[in-house]
Amino acid sequence: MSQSPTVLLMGHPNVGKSALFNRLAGASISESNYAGTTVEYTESQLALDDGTVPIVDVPGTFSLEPKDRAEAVAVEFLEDASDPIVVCVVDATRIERGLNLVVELLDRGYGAVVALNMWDEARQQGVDVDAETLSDLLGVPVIPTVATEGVGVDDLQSTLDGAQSSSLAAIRERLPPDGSDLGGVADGSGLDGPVDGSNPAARWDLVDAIVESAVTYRETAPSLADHLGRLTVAPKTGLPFAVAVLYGLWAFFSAVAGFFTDGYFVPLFDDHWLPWIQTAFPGEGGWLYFLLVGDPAATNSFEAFGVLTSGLFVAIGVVLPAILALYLVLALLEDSGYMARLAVLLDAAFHRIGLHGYAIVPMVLSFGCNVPGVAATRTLETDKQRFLTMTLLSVFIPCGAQLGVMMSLIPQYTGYILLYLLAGFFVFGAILNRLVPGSSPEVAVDIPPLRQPRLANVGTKLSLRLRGFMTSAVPFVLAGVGVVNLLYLGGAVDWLATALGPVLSGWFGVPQETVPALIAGFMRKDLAIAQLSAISMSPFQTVMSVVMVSIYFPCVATFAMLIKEGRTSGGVLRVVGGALATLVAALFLWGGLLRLGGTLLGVA
Amino acid sequence: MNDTHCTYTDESAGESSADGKGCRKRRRQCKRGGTCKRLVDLDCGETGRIECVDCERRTLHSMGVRPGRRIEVCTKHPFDGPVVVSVGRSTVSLSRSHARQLDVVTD
Amino acid sequence: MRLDEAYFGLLGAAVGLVGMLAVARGLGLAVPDPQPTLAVLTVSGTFLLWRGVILLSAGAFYLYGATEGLEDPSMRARVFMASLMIWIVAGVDLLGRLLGAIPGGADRWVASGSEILAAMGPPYSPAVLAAPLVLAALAYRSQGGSP
Repeated sequence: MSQSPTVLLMGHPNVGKSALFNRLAGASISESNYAGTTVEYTESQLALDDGTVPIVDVPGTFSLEPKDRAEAVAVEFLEDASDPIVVCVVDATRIERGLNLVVELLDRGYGAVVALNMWDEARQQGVDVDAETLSDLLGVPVIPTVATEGVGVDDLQSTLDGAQSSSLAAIRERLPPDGSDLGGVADGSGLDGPVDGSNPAARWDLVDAIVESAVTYRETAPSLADHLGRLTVAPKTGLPFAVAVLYGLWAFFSAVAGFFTDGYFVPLFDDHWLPWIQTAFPGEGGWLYFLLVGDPAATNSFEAFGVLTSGLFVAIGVVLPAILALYLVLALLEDSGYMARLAVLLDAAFHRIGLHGYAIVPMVLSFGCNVPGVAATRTLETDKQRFLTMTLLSVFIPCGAQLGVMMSLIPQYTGYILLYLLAGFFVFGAILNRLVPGSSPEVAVDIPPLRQPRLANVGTKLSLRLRGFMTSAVPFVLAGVGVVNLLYLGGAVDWLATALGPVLSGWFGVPQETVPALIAGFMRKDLAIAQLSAISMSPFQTVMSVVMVSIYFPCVATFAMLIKEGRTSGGVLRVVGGALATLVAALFLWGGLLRLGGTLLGVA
Repeated sequence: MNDTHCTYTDESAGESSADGKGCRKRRRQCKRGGTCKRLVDLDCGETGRIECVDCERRTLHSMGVRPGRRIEVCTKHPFDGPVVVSVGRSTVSLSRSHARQLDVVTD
Repeated sequence: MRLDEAYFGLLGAAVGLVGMLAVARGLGLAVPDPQPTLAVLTVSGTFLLWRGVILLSAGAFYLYGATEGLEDPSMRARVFMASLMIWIVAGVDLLGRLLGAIPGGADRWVASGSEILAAMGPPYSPAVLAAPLVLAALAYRSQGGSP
């Protein structure tokens, strides 16, 4: 008991584990990946009477028989920890499900303390739990808590030393002997049979008996939130609401990202950083200068092409604000419980391509910036799903900056271009789904009730995400810019331009002058589009070249992310190779189709 | 008291998947006649008592969707979309294939 | 409940009509902007089609709720939801204006207070005009039990 036990916070998803963790945790919270997986967990230090112990917020799991990777990681935490103290966080409003997990834990012999969270909501909804009776029955401490307000957290902390194990047989003995009250539940195995992992029905019988003794349900009318919860998940009312939410998400993102990028980072970088480093950095004219600072005559950070100029600008000035805005909205959506409903509404559409509703998260993120979109694919279950989503996004989803420029330069065509790209997303998705080996398991999605998102929760999630991004993604972006520069130095880019020029103008019917813009699109697609608009072309050629820029290559930051995520999703070569193959196919086939359509319609 | 204990012809721990593979169990006919239906055949707003959960029973069980509980169909999404149900105080979205394998005795 | 049924019924009709106008303009049909006649309202800007769809749906929800009767808590919830939709659109519209006005441009970091205020003045988009009018729906929060 005293040799540095670890405190593990376990429980179902959406029971308030993270809020409780934030209350218990010390100042240093770190988020990590479980070795070899993309499953994330947070840990910190908890101050107890006799020193600090590590405390881990384990990924939510419905049972100790895991159904997916995240749950498998949760079970591994449990099994690997030496002498863990398990705080089983239970949603008091859905206490039966929570007790099922508690009973499973006790059955396996772990010492536990039960945190009966969302205690206030339970009272409001008419679920009255007698915590003392429950504690006596189970043989372990049961503490009512309201993690979002901090109620009960101190009590919880002081009982952690008293975590005990308990046996199911002992529980059964403590139950009142009126077995006739248990009518209506699964029989056959009764309460006499062995209660162990291979007999979930018997375990549920035990849970039902416990609930019978310790919980009384009052009839309450559904609240406004309950009604809203239903309305937002039903198609006829939910879809218009979803349109409003998605529009709001997009508009919020544009406003915030634009504020930081165009309002402040662009002048900061262009008018201050760039001139300073151009003069201050030694060795002008040498290759190191060119690599790190870029073109000495450049007047804006984009054209300079140096690692310390364009690279830093793209990473900090463009991508960082986008990430901030997007993760903020994402945290709000998750915390309020709306995200699950959105996933359900869109599930049918994604099923056709072997994904499921949760793939909407990376997709929506990508409309802001492809970089967090690709990063978000790590929540998907299988390698195949991750690869599919990553590839489709980086090829077919234009990022916010691109869309912004499109709308200011060619607003009349933007809508159609977007539709064409989305159509490509689904068409190629369906094709890739058949070609790529692997499975796409179906999931049952638990839909939490709608709740008001708590600022504290959202704040912590956001800062963790940001920190993770800055430390992991930024080096890749800078490296990417460096590589591009090396290619320029080596003349590879010029060679590409001359080699590809005839192909591009021949197949796609766009003038040769577009080639430099396409090459520039490697760095930032939105400026490539701006360059394109300066070339005089027929409207169809403009649309054609914009579609090409959108499809043909992910910007260097996204490409860096693909490499980074590819390492944990089936190997860099396979992922990047597959993505490039899809890209080339998409470019020539989907682009070619557009040209064909245009020729047939007579507008090409 | 009604017999709501499921008998399984085939021990299967496989997950059902979007491509139809993995769930090796053949769907049995309901034990009873007219009142026992598949979940997918219920309309929105209909309630019933869960009789049997075929594939993925353990996962659904731990979410609260288990034999003997009252279940209500909240919405069914078009184009073969998921079926959202509420069991007790939990709301769960089930895929169509799950819903085809869940038998319910209607009231 | 009759008073709020009348109120939201009228509001729903108004919002729905403006929504249709926005959809029409968003689709490129030759329908004029009401700004010359009604100085505070302008139906223009980006994503006009989608904003029109949102307004139209919200208006439809209000009308449906008003006609089905607002004694029914699920109808009140529907009205509340429609109001949420309007507040989302209005909120990001105002936020966009504010954030667009704050950066000062070439020579200053922050624009002056009066410039920012000027950018926030009329004309307004329909959602912004409707937002204060639908605040009445907040009353339903306590009626149906707090969320």
